Amino acid sequence: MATNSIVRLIAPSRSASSRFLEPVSRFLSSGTPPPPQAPSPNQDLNRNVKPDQNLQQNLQMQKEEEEEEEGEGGGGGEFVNEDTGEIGGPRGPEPTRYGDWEQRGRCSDF
Amino acid sequence: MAAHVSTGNIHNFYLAGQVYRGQAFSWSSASTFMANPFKEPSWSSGVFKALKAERCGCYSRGISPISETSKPIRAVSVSSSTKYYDFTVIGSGVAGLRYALEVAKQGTVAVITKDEPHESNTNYAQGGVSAVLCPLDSVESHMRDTMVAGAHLCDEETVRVVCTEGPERIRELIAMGASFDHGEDGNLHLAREGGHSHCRIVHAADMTGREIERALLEAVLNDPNISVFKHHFAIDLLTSQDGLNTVCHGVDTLNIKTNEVVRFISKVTLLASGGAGHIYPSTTNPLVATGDGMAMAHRAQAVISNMEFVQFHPTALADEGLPIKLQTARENAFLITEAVRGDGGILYNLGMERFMPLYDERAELAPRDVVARSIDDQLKKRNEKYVLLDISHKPREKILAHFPNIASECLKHGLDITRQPIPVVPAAHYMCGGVRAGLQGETNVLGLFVAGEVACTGLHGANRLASNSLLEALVFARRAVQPSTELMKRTRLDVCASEKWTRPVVATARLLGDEVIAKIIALTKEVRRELQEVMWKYVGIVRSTIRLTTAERKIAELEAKWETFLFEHGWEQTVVALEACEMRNLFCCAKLVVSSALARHESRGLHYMTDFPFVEESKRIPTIILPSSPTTASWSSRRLQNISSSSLIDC
Repeated sequence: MATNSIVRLIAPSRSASSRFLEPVSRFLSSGTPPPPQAPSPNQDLNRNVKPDQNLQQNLQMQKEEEEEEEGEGGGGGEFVNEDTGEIGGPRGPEPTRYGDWEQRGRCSDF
Repeated sequence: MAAHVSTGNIHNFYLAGQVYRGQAFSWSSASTFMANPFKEPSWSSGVFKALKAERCGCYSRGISPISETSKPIRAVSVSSSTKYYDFTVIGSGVAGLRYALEVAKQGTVAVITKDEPHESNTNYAQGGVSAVLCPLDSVESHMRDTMVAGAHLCDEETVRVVCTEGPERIRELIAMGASFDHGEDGNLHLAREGGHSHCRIVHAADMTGREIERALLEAVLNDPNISVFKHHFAIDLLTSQDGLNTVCHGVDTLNIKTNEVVRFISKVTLLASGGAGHIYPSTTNPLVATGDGMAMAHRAQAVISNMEFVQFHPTALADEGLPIKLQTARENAFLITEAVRGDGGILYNLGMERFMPLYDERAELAPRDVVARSIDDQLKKRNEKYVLLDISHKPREKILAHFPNIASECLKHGLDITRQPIPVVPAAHYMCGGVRAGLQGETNVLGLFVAGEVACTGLHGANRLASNSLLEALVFARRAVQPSTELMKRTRLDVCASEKWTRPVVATARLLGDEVIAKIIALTKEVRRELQEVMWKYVGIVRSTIRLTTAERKIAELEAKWETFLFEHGWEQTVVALEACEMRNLFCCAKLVVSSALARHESRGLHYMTDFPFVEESKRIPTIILPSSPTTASWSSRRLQNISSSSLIDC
């Protein structure tokens, strides 16, 4: 029965997750993300949504802005992270803030 | 032959000459069982004893026994098809290259790699390397994090060694020219990844693996004692029996560019061939990762361990869910970061039901393994190909600011993530199991060492801690150097030995005919896809005995169908071609994973069984797979080369 198999799946998850909970919660203690909202599924999702022309332009502009910033870094221009003091590191939010290693949305290590 | 399990330590049992070759499964060529729970198997002691046994260099008549004053070989080619080196390294990732650079100080080295040298899992490992480099950190802490992540199946001695020696290995890398990020204070910048309780991840922006690979490769190419043979695909190891021991003498390879077999004879061989992600349809691994090393080692009588622990990432971009299909299949998966879920992304099945709350009260913020299992469960129940990750309810600017890579990749294929959900499916990422290694990287085959993902050293246990894989490769590559060098110095090679084994024959149009070759290639491609589908459907993240036995049966049928076709169309035991050899390795690894999974009657770490859903303390031991009996083995499970009948003739 569907319910039984879900229960069996949940039970070990809890015991597994209690093992996982320790390192995960230690990591999350410095800034827990807000609980996710539970919006009703977007009805539009089932329709054919044409990608926004503006979206392409936005992404292009963002890329150009970032390239400009790089140039501003100064002669030899290595990026210095103001919060961490890291030199030459990745820009934007801390790549490991959610546990895995991400850059601009793509995960490369976990 | 009835199965027989000794109650003693598995290695003592093995060394006593009672090599266990079970017939537990009618089709399978491997037997798998759990090491005896009453005696904790020691990773280092038994295997190292095998290494210490006197090695007899007598594999053709007329050769005197080992001399203590053996000199390193000059790299001499008797013919272009046979080459002689002191050391042969199979694989050009971090483990292979690190080892090569060290042993090159003692003798000649051949590095064999099946593609371009940089093409390895290392190159795609973009996160970092973990090591205790912060004064506030400690080896004990790193050890603890490793063992917790490994669900306490790790070998404690191995963990201690790796965590202790890691920092020195990093410093050496820096001395070799690898450039890692540092802070304004001049110290290495250390990041903190999930599962780690301190900042200890050393990295180079977001391409650490590539940077390490670059630095090592540069040093290797500049080393006069190292010869790199790219586009040389390793076919099978060359071994002989010396009393109770199996001895490795080198490896046969196929030069893919010239379509010729090249035989490498060496005193010592290091297997550093990486992972086997391509036994699954969706994987982060590059195309070269077809489990060649694990398969060759199994066929060469090496013990394999813990193959059931396959690490998946829960949310890789599912190309079949994209409106505009990719023109050619993506080679390695695009992983969607946890940050999408962290920032409020919601998972739905294709019926638009939010399912995570059914599995865990933390819903989308549950640990990655829980999410992976939940997604897998949904896909199996609903018989679907992917689920949906929706972030479109968040402000558009935030989405584009945080996840531009996902946005642009999806946009390329007609999907706007600010308005539509992202199709995602789990992808195979890392093999925690592999060829069983002692603390010096030694195996039960004399002269064969292993390092990196191909090895099972006891570090990862049932689940790998982030950034520990590059570390393991570095530490074991280094540890294997001393025993390798000692063995090399004690060994003398005979130039005539190269003809002791029959030679592989390249499959050519002249041999089989153009049409047959084309049919075989087409069938092999199709069979590979089918095998991957079986593995994903029956040997995925959520497993059960029924599913696994179904997988066994289906894989056996598929393999029989494929082999029958080949052999009915003129293929023979010693015939080789790249596609066919990769296929036989994939079959071999797939069977190793299934056997291993069937043998573990508990759920632990990455291995989850619905009929054994709990952790069992008595089962907190490694899974061991012994070599198969040659009489029942399929083509994927036997070595190509037999000892040729002319080997006893003096030359």
